[in-house]
Amino acid sequence: MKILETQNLTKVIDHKKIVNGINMQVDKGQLVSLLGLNGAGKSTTLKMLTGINYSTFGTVKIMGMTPKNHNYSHQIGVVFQNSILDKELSVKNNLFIRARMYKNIDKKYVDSLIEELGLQSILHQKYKNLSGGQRRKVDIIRALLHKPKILFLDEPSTGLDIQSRNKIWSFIKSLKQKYNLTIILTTHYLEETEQSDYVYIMDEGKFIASDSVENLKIKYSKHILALTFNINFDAKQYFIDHDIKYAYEHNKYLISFNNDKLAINFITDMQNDIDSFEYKHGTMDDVFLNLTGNKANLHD
Amino acid sequence: MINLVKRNLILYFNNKANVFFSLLASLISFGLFILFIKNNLQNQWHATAIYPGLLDNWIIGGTLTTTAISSALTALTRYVIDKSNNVIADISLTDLSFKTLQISYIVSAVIVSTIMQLFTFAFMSTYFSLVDKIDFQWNVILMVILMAILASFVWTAFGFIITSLINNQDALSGCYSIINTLAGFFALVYFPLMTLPKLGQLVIKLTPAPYMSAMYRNILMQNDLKNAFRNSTAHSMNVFKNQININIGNVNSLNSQILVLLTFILIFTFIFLIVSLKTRKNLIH
Ligand SMILES: Nc1ncnc2c1ncn2[C@@H]1O[C@H](COP(=O)(O)OP(=O)(O)O)[C@@H](O)[C@H]1O
Ligand SMILES: [Mg+2]
Repeated sequence: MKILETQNLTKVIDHKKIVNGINMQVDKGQLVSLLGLNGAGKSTTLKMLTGINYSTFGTVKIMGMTPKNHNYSHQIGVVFQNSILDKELSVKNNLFIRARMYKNIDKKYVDSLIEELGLQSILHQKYKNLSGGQRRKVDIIRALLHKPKILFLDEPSTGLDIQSRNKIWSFIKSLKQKYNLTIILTTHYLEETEQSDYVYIMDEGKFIASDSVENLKIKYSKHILALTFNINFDAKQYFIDHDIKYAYEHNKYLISFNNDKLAINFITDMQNDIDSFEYKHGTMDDVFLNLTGNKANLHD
Repeated sequence: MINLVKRNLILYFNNKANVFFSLLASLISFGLFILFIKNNLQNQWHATAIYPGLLDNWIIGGTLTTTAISSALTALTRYVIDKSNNVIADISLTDLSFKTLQISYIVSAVIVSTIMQLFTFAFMSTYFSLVDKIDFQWNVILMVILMAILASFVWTAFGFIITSLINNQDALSGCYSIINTLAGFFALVYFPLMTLPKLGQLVIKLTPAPYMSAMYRNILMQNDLKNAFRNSTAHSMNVFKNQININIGNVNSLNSQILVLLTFILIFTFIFLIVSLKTRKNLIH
């Protein structure tokens, strides 16, 4: 079942198309990533999806509602790229100040969120004294106070060390199960998208590809088999005879395969001649590089 | 609403820099007065040499105006900070209406500005009662509280126009520096109106500042004036009042000064409404 749909969603600022005609369809219960470099237009897209900004053209609908509908914001929770909570106030005050801004807040539910998501121990600490990971967790809980159906997160892991990043990710995934959430997030870390059900790859305001991680890899990356052969086997001659494309690097022959089956067959056929092999699956790095060209340093 | 007001107040008073900058303009005028201006004015106005309470309360009146200006504006910085940090965007996702949100920021600023004025009043009155042995005027306190609230509304209404138009903190603090620098002159803290050229007088008279100082001086100096002009004609007292700007042109009674300030609130509110029609649409970006 589709929970969110956009049609030709476009944002023009100062005559420039910051977001350019994007179409999305998100199924209920999915974890969807918007992947793109800084400046690709991810935050602007998220602001339109959440109704914080209106689009210049095109539409976004959540369960048939447009952002002008009064109930739209009740369906969504938003975690902003930079935290919007008050550093000088305690976690508890921060959460309760926001909770009181909703008309029909379920106090028991707020308490249960705090308990289930393990916030009691830091409840009375000032927000500014928390670690980066803890802050993110509080930000996320703020976004869940009113039981939204879709959770939006703008770069939830940016600025965190690797350990906290992993923790936040497993936290986000656990939320999805526990509260039956649909999650839409943005990231510029390629490896993080591996955990999502569906990925939209964004570049200069456009979606340049979108699919499941698996399908993206099939379409835009290759699996690589790195081989060494027995000394008396003339590999080069063999590849030429059989019209196989290969590369030779660091004393290894590299051959690419579209799927695992083909690689297994190749190894089986050649088992008497192969001395050693390594097999590497394509990564989202390859996918991204293939799509955008060697545009920028992918990792910070 | 109370919720958001409380949060704004806690954030304001938690931040020492806020409190300091709210009082900075007043501290400067107070310091300048004691160091340089007091003697000078005493030589000009002989009555003030005999009745030190006249001059002391005159400076308190002017200083309260500058405090009202800088504290209301400083309190409203929160609104701009919250706009630029997406806090307003976040609140817009809740059930709190945009109007209630704006009113909350206005009420917070009025409360802050009133408290800072009363603090300044208590501080300066205590200082002068110790140094110049003048009486602490308990009998005017209620009036001062009411006028402080009125003054807070005037400058909050003014400040809200500015903070609605400006979305980033740097631009705002630039704007504030200018206003704070001018505040002392416009509030007629350092010298009276008639020492200025005609154009300068006109510009100052087009702002609420001189009327507010006059209002405060009217209230604070009434006891000492009665004493000082006990044996003189009403005319000579009026001449003195003109000299020291308890009268601003024809606006020469407490009631007319209050009326002028209420009119300024209306004008500022009207301007704000026009401005907000234009900015409302793209406020939450
Ligand atoms: N309000 C704005 N005014 C002008 N340019 C903007 C505005 N918001 C975003 N942009 C520009 O749009 C582009 C995309 O921004 P953004 O959506 O924040 O990208 P991302 O989140 O992917 O890093 C950037 O080049 C940015 O400078
Ligand atoms: Mg961004």
